[in-house]
Amino acid sequence: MSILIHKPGIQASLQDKGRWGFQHLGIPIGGAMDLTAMQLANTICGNDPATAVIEFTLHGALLELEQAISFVICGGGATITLNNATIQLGERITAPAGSILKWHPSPYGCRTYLAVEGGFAVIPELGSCSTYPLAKLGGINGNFLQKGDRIPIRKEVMQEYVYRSTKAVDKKTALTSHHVNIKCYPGPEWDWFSSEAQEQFTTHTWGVGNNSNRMGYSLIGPPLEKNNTRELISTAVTRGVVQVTPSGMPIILMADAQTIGGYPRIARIAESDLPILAQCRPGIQLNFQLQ
Amino acid sequence: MQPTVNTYLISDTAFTLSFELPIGEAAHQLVMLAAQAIKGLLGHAYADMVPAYTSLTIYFDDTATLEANLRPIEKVITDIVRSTANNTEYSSLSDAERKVVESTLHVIHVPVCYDQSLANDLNQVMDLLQLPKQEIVQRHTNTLYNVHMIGFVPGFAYMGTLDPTLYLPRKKTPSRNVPAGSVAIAANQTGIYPFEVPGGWHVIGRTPLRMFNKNRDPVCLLQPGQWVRFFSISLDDFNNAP
Repeated sequence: MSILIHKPGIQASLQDKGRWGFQHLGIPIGGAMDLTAMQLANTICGNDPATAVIEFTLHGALLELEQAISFVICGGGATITLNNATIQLGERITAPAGSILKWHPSPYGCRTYLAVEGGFAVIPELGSCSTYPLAKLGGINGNFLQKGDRIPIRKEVMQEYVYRSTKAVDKKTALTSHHVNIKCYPGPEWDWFSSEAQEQFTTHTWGVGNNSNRMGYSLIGPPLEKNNTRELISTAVTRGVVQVTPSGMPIILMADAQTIGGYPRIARIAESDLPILAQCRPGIQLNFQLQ
Repeated sequence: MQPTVNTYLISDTAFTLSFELPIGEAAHQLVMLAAQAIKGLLGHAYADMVPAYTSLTIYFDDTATLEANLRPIEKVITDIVRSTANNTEYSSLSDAERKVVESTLHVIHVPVCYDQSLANDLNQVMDLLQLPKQEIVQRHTNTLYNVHMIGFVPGFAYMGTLDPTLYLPRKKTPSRNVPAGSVAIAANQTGIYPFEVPGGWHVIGRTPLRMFNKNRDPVCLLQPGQWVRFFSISLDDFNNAP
């Protein structure tokens, strides 16, 4: 038995900790954008923290439980109802077959993670269930979830009514502002940028651009100029690296980033702040705090 | 001459060893030797390793493991740089010497159809280089290439070093859809597109081989460090390929 996807919303996909050990073949690590929320949802469910979950972006999703399941949703970016009653993020819930989960708009956050007790019965590819559509790896047929997809679940639960735990435990990952401070360090090519660009990077309030996705976030602000005409010899890049395109626009690389890049890297985000970044939707304002 | 080695972090749990060398054979050999030595040193204590043109990046599970291994790795690398300083480069060998070297290598032979109907940029490349098609094909197939790195998309092999008479800068405007299997050139490199993606290299042919196949082991036909030679096939052979 399974969960039936009536509406997937924006780029909903199965994700886990990512596909490690294949970057030398150009295969990105991928994995949940907000690894903290993913692990928390699993932990509350009693799963191994690395179990695959469904990542939802903002609102729009509508699912039907075709069997009774015990589940937890963590993260942010949507108000979620179970059979029209609002549920709390981080709350462990057991619901009977036929129940409907729906993702409604919410002012804060960007991504929610659905973990089910026992995990989803999907087969890992190259060591991971993480969905990477370009190479058709992981998830259901290597794609973002589609209307009509059924995601099988490992464990049967006997339940005839909705049971809700008394308290939610998701405070740590909830974002409650449209402005966030992000800790970062100077990147390998920090010195390639003019002192004015370095100043702008650290003092300007940057906007998260509309064309931000699992590969990277484009930032809106003043173009950052280099102090030389050097070209970077292509080299490894990863989640959290802030690269600057030839037009001077910074891009923060995220989970599905290419393994190798050729743009100079002005900064790298502190790993501890990557989950906060994952919860930033387009339009959010960012200030970088250089460590 | 020993190249300078720079070490820097790209995340809290990954660092890069960067050799101050131009893109080419010397840098590539150093990167592959370094990768091999570090695998020997670390066993399973690393999470991922990415060889690139002139650098090697090592990923760890956590910051503590990275910190514990940083100094031992730097020491091994210093030794390798010292011991390879006087190595002979393949490109400096005579034709006869190259044949001997090549007979000892495992070379992957990749069929390519250089027909204009499969190579959108071939006519333009002939114009830009002022060379007839047979000459481009001859020079492209007459070189033994080394896979310098894989990146951009899964399985995209960056191979060097191209015959210098075929050097062209990347296209000013990338193509929106380069078909899977397209064989292309840019600067001193040649590469094969494993998927239909946008791309800025000049497409001069197409291979019927599947560069990436998730149900095959290995999933990528080419791996960093491998040797490759192209051979020309007809349009009929291309169309009849399995």
